[in-house]
Amino acid sequence: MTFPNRPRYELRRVFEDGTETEPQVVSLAALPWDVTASRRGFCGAGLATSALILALRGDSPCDAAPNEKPRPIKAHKKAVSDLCFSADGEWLATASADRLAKVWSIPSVNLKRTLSHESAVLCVLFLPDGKTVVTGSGDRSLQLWQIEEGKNLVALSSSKASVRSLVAFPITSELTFASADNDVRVWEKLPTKPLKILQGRGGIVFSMAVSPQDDRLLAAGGEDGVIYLWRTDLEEVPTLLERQGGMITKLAFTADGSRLISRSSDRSLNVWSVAEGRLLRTLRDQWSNVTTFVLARDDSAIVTAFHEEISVWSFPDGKRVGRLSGHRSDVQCLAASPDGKLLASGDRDGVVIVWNLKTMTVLSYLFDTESNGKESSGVTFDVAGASGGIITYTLPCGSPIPPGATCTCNCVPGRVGLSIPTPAVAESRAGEPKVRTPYVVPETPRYVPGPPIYIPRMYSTCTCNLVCTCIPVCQALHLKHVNSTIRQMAEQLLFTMGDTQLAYLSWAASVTTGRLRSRIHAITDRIRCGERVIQMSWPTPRDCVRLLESPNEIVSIMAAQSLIYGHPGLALPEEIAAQVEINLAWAYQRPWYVRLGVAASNVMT
Amino acid sequence: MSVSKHARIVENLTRLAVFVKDRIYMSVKEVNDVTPAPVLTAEVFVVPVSPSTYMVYAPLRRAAFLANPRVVNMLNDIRDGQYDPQTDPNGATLEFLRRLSIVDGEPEQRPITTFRGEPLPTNVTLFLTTACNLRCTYCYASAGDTPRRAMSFEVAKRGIDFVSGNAVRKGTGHFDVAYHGGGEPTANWRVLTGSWQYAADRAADSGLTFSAAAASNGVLTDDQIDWMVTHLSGGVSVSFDGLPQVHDRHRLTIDGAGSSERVMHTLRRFDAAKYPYGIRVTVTHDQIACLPDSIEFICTRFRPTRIQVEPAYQLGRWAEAPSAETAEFIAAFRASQDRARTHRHEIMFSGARLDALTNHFCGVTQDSFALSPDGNVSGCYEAFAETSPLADVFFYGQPDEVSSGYCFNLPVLNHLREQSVEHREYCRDCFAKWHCAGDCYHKSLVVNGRGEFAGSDRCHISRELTRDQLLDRILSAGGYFWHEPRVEQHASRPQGKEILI
Repeated sequence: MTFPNRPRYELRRVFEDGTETEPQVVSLAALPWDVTASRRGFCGAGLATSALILALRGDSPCDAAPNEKPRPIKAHKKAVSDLCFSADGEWLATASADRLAKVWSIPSVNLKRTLSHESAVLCVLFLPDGKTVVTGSGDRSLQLWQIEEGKNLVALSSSKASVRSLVAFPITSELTFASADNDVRVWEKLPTKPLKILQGRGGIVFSMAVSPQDDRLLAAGGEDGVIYLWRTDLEEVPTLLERQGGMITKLAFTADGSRLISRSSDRSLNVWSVAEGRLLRTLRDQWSNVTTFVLARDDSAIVTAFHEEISVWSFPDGKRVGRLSGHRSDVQCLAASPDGKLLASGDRDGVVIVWNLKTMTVLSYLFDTESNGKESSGVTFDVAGASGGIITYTLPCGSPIPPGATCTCNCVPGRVGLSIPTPAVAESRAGEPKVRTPYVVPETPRYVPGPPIYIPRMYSTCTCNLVCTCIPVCQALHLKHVNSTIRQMAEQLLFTMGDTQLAYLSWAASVTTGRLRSRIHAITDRIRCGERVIQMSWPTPRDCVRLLESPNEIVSIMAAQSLIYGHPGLALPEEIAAQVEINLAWAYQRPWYVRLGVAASNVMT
Repeated sequence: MSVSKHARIVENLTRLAVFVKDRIYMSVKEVNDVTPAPVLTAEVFVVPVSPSTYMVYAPLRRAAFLANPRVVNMLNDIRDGQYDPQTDPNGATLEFLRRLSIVDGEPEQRPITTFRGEPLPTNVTLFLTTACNLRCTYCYASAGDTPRRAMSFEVAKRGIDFVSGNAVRKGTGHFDVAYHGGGEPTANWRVLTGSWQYAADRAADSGLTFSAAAASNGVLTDDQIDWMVTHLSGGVSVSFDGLPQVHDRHRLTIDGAGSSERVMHTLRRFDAAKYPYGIRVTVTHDQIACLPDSIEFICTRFRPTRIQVEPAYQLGRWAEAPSAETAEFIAAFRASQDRARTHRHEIMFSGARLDALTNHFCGVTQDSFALSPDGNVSGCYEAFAETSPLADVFFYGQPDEVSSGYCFNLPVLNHLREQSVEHREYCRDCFAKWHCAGDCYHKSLVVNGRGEFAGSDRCHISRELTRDQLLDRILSAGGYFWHEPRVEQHASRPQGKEILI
């Protein structure tokens, strides 16, 4: 008995593109497991219907002018007010004026939870237990959330004013934290009233910091321009650090706890000695115009933001070591991951970017379909993580995709559902002859509505993938068609596309079951093993012609493609040639698809 | 110097150069003529990793490395006797292949053991009951839906007598007793404890050692837990799905309540006693996304010696449910593995076991001896009762009416023995075949019907995860190659008559 689908990994001759001159053992590190090698580009990635519609409208991401600034992709609808990584670096919480706080998994940047307030969320904090998020809001409330279940544990509205800052006490307790409005209140998890209230002179407290070495030492600063240094375990009067410089907007202790850095509204950074309670240094020249800052990499770097630009400086010598460009409006907040590898920045438009601090490049934009309008569009790309797992990241349309990443679709429309290719959209181009919608929505859509807990990864997947099919997927779905000619055409065309389409074959497998899925896996394996099209295996021209006017539009297109690629140079009667032209009209409008079809290296005669 | 003299010198030098070149060429040719051509001495598989990179894998040498297409084609030429030394001018690649014993090594020994004749098992598995104190939504046995059947002490006793007698006859000095499936073994507590005591007495009388193990749903009383800790030296495999909300969604008590609290109590008690137990996590299609969190939950709270993750079988109550054997499962497994490793744990999938080199996936092909509650002999844990749909395939024996032993249906048994991977045409060229060993025969029958094995979605999962393991090994060995030759190549120590091929 023979098995056409059996996995074939036996030793056999594989394709050489002629660029290698000698045999070479390759290091795993040389492979693009990380975001390091060349972009595969859209051209090889197959076609998504929504991109196809964009192409008809003339605004395909492929056609975007290289210098054109990408449209923002948003994590929130309004300004981002605060960011916080969890202690284990696996979660990032974002707070925004859109009344929402969101929790994202890191590094896969999938939205995990959306937490809502009645007013702008001004601050967010992960408790050191890694399971609880605290949010403070303009509605004067403080809420505690359990991340795993998305449960609101408790809502407190005992504050006199908006809660603007939160800070944890990681050494003392996993569950103790402080909030600041006009006073500083120390709480425990599931509180009913604060353990302690530390009163200042009455102005708004904008920022707090806890010493990493002794978390009973708390610094707070705000409207009155004074920094209060409290011993939270003692009932003593706070030490005051004063300087003429306006409001204190940001505070941070250095890792050894010996120095405190403050940012004042006069845009200066001030370094204080904690032990002596005196100002050591005011950083003005190179640090001027800093709106916010964060210490990173165990204090060896300080990251600052001014307007839309983020700068990375070595600390304390103050040499600029990098600039991070990507925001299009003022950066409001920054957060560094505990291991110092990642930086998150949020801006006034609601955009949150996660950066790789080592390479100083964008890792991904945080992307929530609910926060993006129709005008937003982006690209997604896959990279393999350290263990080979695939992580999908999102960037705005027109952004360069990191080298080596695999683009998984052409475009991410802003909202789930808007990219469904209705006939009205497909036929909407004025003055053009009416053309058929060439692709059908798969019978088993990949997106399965359900409680968010079961589908968190789906949100990061391209929305095109959720609602449309592309050519390789449609062809793959015909691999077990009852008509042997159609099966043959589907298989031949998949082999013609070769290994450029493996991501789509994987998708096709994921929307199918049983024997069809096994068949797709088998074809995938054979392509991976270097098997190419055998020219003599194409269906006969007569069989192809019979299917040119099939009511199944995929079949009709496959028939036209089979005539073109399977029987090049064949003289077709005028009427049939015209039908082939019509069927391929869609493909001809997308030059990358045509290139893909005739890739010489994929054809074995 | 005159021009003509200069020309003569140049001419002489040219002649000398041609002479020297010819001599060198002749010398190289002579050397090549006497050097034997390299010979491929390993079963080699080629696994594509990226468009221009392949993983060359020699499973029986336990060696793998990444290479460009030139290396693959060079190996191809060596196998075909068409090796051209010019391909590898400095010979470095050839030397590398020699060191891995892929080229010019000793002949490989294939990890094949076969069984013939009357079976002489020294392990017995007792399906104590079809009753269960849970009503798991995905139960492959639909435990609790069928009339309760319980094994009598006499049935257990006969099985123990048989395997202990075989241990004496074969001189192995040891036999095993396992308590398993079709229901919750502890629901037949009297026979469980009685048979253990009988096995202990029998072992003492015969001068044998024995060990006992069990699979359980973990909903146990403290007395039962303590008994297991002190008596089941082979450990217990507990079904636990991780996050309480995930576990309680599918693993329900008869009253419809969640069972996670009881199971976690059992695990905590095991941990307190430092008892070796395994956790088996079953993943349904709707819970795939929660798998990483569930694994983390387990790793941070309990100390199992082993965590096995399997997609739910589409059998029994779960027959009509969507499959969890999907690409999402693979992605979730990878994410879970990452999480587990941060807590110094490792999760495993039964089809992806790089450390095993065997032709047997499980006991089905090596005379597994399991007794149904009625005392008949099955080769498979999933065919636990005579009413199982595939009972005719897996039940191969019954109690002998005239002796204290068993009558075996050898044609049925031989058919099972022939399901080992070396007989499977489908698996012939798969790089994972000596690890998954053809995977579960029962599942393949469910997927493929009774025809010859033609692959399943589990194959894809096994290959992907095996490839992950290979890449991990290469990475942890420095990033270039992995080579961990084994002195003893057989992962399994099968019972019965072994014939090495």
